[in-house]
Amino acid sequence: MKKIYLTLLSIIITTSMYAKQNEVFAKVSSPVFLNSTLSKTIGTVQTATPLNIIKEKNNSLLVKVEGWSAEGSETIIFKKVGQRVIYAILDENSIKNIKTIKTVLDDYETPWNQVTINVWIKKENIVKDINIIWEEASTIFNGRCGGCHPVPELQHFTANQWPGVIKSMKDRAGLIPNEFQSVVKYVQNHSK
Amino acid sequence: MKNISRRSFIKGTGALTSVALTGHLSANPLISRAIEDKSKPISASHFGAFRAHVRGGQFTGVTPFEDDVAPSPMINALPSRTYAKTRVEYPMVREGFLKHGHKSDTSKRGSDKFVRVSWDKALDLVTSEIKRVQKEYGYKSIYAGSYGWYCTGKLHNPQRLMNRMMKISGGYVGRTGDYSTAAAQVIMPHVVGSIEVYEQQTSWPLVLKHAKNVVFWGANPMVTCQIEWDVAGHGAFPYLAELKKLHKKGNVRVYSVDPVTTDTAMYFNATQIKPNPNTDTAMMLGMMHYLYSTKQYDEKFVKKYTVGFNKFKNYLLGETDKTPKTPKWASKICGVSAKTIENFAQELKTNKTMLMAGWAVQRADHGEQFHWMLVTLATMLGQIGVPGCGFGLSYHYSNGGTPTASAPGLGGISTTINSDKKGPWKDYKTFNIPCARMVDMISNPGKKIDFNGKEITYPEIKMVYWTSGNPFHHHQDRNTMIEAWKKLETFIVHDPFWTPTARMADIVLPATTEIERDDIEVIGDYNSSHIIAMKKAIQPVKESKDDYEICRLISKRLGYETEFTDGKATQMDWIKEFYNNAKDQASQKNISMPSFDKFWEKGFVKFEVSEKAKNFTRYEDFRKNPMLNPLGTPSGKIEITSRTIAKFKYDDCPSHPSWIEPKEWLGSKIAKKYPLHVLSPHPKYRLHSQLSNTWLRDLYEIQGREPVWLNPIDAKKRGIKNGDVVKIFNTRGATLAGAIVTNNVMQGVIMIAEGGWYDPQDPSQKGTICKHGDVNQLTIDKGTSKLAQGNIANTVLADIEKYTGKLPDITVFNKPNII
Repeated sequence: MKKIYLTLLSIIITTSMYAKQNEVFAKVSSPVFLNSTLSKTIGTVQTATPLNIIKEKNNSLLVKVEGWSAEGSETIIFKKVGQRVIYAILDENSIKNIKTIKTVLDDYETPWNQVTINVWIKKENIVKDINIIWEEASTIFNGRCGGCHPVPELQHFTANQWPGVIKSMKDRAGLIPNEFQSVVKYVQNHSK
Repeated sequence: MKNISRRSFIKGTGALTSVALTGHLSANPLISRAIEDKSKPISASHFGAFRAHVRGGQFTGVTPFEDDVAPSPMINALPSRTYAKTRVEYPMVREGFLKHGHKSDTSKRGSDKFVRVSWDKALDLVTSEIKRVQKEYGYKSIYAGSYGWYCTGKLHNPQRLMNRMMKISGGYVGRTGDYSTAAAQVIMPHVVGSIEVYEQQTSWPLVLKHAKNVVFWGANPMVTCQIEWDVAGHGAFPYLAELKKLHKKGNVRVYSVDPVTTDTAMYFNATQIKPNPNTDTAMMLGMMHYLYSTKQYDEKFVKKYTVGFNKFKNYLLGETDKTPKTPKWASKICGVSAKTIENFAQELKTNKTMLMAGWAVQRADHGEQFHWMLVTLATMLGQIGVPGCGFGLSYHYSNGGTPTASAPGLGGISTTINSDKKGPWKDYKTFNIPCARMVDMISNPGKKIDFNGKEITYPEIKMVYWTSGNPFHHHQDRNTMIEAWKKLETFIVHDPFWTPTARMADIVLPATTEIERDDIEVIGDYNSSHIIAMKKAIQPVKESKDDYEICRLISKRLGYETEFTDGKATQMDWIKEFYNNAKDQASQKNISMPSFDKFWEKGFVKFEVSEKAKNFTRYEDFRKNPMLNPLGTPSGKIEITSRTIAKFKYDDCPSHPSWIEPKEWLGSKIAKKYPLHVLSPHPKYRLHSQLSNTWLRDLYEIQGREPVWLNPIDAKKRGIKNGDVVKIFNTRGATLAGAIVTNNVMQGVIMIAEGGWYDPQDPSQKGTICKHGDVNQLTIDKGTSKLAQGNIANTVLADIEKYTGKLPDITVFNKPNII
């Protein structure tokens, strides 16, 4: 029984690994570029954003970012409709490079576009295992926030609420910009 | 210091055998060192930073820190508090508990005698109790939410230290929220996407520059800004003084909306509007009805920056309930005339307005509605995000609005355990309850309650562990609480003082105060003007130990000392680490800080305030572009109607702000029997119950009782004169107090500050009265609503009579009975 179970488990793991084998994550908030020479930046992808590798050239990777943008804020790519986990913030003039897959209306009648964009990123700015980011962020979150008050459960706030909460506390918690962003992504991705 | 003086030796041998047997007498010499042996080390407190006068090894006085712009008189009480009669001098165990352990007669708590034991005995006992309860019932049977303000300091945070130790032992039930802002901090994220109450405010310089109306709505910063969570810097006071000048010149109008003429209203000679307690939401509805029906509300702002106005508007106009919320309708509820309501709304709309709201109004039944309604009013005024205007929920707290200096954050002790061992903490998962439901939980194991969209099942609590907090002051409905406490097998307390809570404990471990230990802190919760060294000025009083040391020794007994200390040899190693982490951050921001040794020698580092910080406006970005800078709500906008809350389908928290009758108020039936509404705001010369045990009480007490303000008309009806001792009572309890007959409180309302120590007349009798003035004898133990489950301390009716019996002596400021 145990052996069968293990085999099944390994098949599942292998399959999911295969499906996601090209998936990596932005290690920190990183500039992204129009071409492999990395000369012209067109915006940034934020910490923990999933990226799909299309090709590799020298020390650069061409990756696909996929998410949603809302009408009126087309330069920001979010994780989901109405869920403002920011994936990327692009320059105004790179909107033309964004491909729209489909458009839906959210509960508040705001149109959201499912979008993708292919961008180049420095190879050193990605990480394969997302848990490396989460472990580091969790240590900062529990250590710094827990210095004054009990650390709230991650489900205490929604993905949308968390950034404002962390922002209001970031100076007192001594979060420098990269720490702030990784903590925000950590709590957002583990929220209710 | 190591020499045991002859006198202390004699005293020691006279004590119980349990002490004498251990031979562990480390009491300080009773004779002080030479009086000319002087020093002035720097230290700090919630009331402000100071230089301690030390003479002959004793703490004899204070000089306020030179950078404190408005020192509070409260620091003057610190030396005498250090040596107060109420100090817990030795580890103590309740007699019944010492004999019978967790099988003791728990109804004896509060009346049993205490027995002095050695530290070894006490620590062994505590450790074995923790082990026993963890083993028999699991971590969900230990409530260690331990709420309270303790002494300040980044290392000696007794709650975090104890939680760290308790986590090592296997975990505990913790708390979420607090007693100050529970309703607001849950509702605000639904409305504006963040908690608001602990966030920096639009800067005072901008308020002074732009606002023409400054409204203190249930806010009394002249009193409450004396204290801060870290170290009070009192940064708001110069701005308040400036506002007074502008008000006097007629450039700005200052309003106070409050049933009481507060110190702030007096200071400004403010225009006062006095609504009936708990009816502010009705008054605001009247104001909004006026703004809507006269087409003056900011329709453009509402359309661009909010969602759900239409549904609210239908309610406002009475289309949903056939009750238009006109000023006339509001007047009947809140007691303020329709004309005043209209004029007030008109004035706020005509001129630039900053609404500064306090928190007392949300410590009431349906307390969520108050700030939600206030934000809705602010959207109709349309000035949110305009420099110096809009609304702010933290101007009265920790000197909010004082611009933030460019300081790094200073870390503190946390519950993070760095260890590869598979210790008991590995299976622990955070489990919290809304903190003010604590007694409900202890009384009703297995009961399910709603809380902000989720359901919580109360565990069965066997042990409560409290460090440097005073729940027998801050929790509502004292007599219900005392009954619930009887269900507990074990109640352990660390505290420097014999608080009403320590008196209820089975085991009391004497803790030091900040002057007896080294620590580090920030001055100004929002202002962050300095990092300050808190230097140990004197040796621990009698046998008291630092909470750090107590928790380390228990962790050692649990077999996990290194996990507790993180491998650090001394407390100073932690303090250095906190400082050096801050220094690292500072260097990344190009701010230079001295080495730790230089800092410690000088005693502080000061940080500069940037022009940007002086020009901070809340919601500026959102106002500039709400799509690029959305709020943290589902819609990204201000939610006047919340679909999230609508989905919860709570009968006591509808989808938009509403007037909902509180459980008790002047308009309710029960007011015929108990016609006075009791308000219990923050005290003037205490931090909640802290400093009640000092001479400061001589500044305000009447015949040794907590003062109660009552209106001359109410006093006359009852034959009460200024200075009389009175009894305040209702079905839940009764307390004595000293009457101050004054027009500063409106008719039908009485005011007695929270925090007067509970002094039961006969602690062995169920429902005995309080001799001293604990307002929570009278209050209701109920959640604000299913949404936030905050306390409702300000929703309570009572009556008052002249006390004609023999005046009982106050005993809570003496030691309890000790064998």
